[in-house]
Amino acid sequence: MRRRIALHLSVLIVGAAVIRMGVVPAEVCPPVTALDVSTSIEAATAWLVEGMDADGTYLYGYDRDEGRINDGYNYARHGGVTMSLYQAYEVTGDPGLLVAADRGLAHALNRIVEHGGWMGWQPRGDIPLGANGLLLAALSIRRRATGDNIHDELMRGIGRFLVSQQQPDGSILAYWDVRAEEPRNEFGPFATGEAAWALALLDRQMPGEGWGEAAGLTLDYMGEDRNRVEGYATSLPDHWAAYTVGDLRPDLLTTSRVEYARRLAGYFGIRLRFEAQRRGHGINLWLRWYPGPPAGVGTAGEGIGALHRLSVEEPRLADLTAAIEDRLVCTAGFMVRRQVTVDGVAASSLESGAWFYRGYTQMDDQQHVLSTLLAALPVLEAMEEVR
Amino acid sequence: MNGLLVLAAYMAALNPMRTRLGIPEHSNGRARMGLLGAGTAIGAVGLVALAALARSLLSALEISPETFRIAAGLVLVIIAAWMLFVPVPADEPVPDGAGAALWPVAYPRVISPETIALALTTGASDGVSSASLGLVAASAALVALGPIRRGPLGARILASGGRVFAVVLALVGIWLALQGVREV
Repeated sequence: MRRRIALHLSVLIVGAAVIRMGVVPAEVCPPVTALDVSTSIEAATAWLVEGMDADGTYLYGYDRDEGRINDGYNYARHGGVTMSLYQAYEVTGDPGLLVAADRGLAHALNRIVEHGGWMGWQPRGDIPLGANGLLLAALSIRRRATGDNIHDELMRGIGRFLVSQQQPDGSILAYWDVRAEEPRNEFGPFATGEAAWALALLDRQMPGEGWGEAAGLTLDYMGEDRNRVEGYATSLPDHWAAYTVGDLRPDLLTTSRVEYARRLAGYFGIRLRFEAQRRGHGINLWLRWYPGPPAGVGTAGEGIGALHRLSVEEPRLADLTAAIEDRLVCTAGFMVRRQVTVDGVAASSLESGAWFYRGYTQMDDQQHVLSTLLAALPVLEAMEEVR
Repeated sequence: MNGLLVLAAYMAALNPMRTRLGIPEHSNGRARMGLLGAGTAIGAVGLVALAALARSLLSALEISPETFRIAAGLVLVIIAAWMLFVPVPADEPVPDGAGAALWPVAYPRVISPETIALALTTGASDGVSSASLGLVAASAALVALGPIRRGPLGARILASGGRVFAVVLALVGIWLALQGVREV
């Protein structure tokens, strides 16, 4: 009998150990305070601002193992980083960040073109939807944070460009073909969401002009038709869609849009829970691989952060608030821990404040994690106030 | 999980028809009701205690209840497959006296990997009252099957019913795993 009991217990213990290692390794959420997050935000913005060139472009990438700067560039990312810096100014009130973001903005404003009643940023070649979406998002956040309406006509002009690319089903074509003088029949994986979010933000700044309705149409497309139309095998965990639904006017929040927000929260939730399981060493490395690329983790954090305010304000999503806050605070905890700080080993100015993935960092790594931390900061402050 | 699903989940996990085939019996083929009642009660109380401690336990292990659902679902699917292929539990040596209520009734018939996984996941996500209701109903069903005489026909009926519960268990497991993936 003892042998049978031992056999049963052994199977139970071995099974539990296998499940523990393979399916539910510890989700490590290091303790983090609002002060830690503020310090991390300061370091990340310093990396972005100190790496700016005289022409308003940002340091694109840095490989610390080879000590090599990547001198490539991506203009959608330029728009994204500029937008994040305005977000950082809005949260921290640091005037230096407004100056830096305005320098990034000025770089784009040098290349604005007009055509058929709309205005667009043409960094080079055909006019990209995503970069213009993020530029408009940056301008909208700037207006919201400063009250300065100096760029209103440009904002409307870019809004008209985005809407001119929009198709009747809500999809938005990713480029304006300069030679053919018509939209190019091509989609971008993230450009659609970037444009939709920009339109939702524009609607908040300039209500009654129909921008929100256009954003809603594209949101429906992203939630219902995009995978089929654009040929994605699985749903895109699109943080720009999360921003869009988070910033959409409350009267535009239909049942299907709220349900899409719920699905998005689920995508980001599992992504961040999985990320919290990653250690990057020992047997965990074989089972979970290295801690994820900061831009990837950051987009999931941004997505969940964008949905936080919505879950607080929208009763149909109120049941998600506690879990969203758990994920957001957990992500802030492990991302603050993963950031290279001044006290880190051999931290140079090209390393300090950055998040690396296997020795390499890029401007969008800082951008997306920065936006995540900016979303987590008020949550942590509110928690600390309650305590 | 709503009440009906919790009930179905505990019924499938405890699988009264299959479990009945592993309960010590009298020579006439009926279950030893004293052992069955006591062992089931002990097992159920243990599982309710586990459900009550589930949140603290998962927190100590740094596992979110949402992620644990994936693991619980996986356990349920694996055990369901085992139940389908092995419809009659292995004979276990039975000690003399009341100790047989602990072994093999309370453990491993009532407290088993599938009921442990279910108690932890429902306790953490739905609360101990939900888990208790499911366990009481499933335990009552198991005890109610005790007087059935295990003749050739009775054994066949119990084994077939056990397979049906196994299919339900697999479906519950798949549902739990999908919920664990979809939840925040």
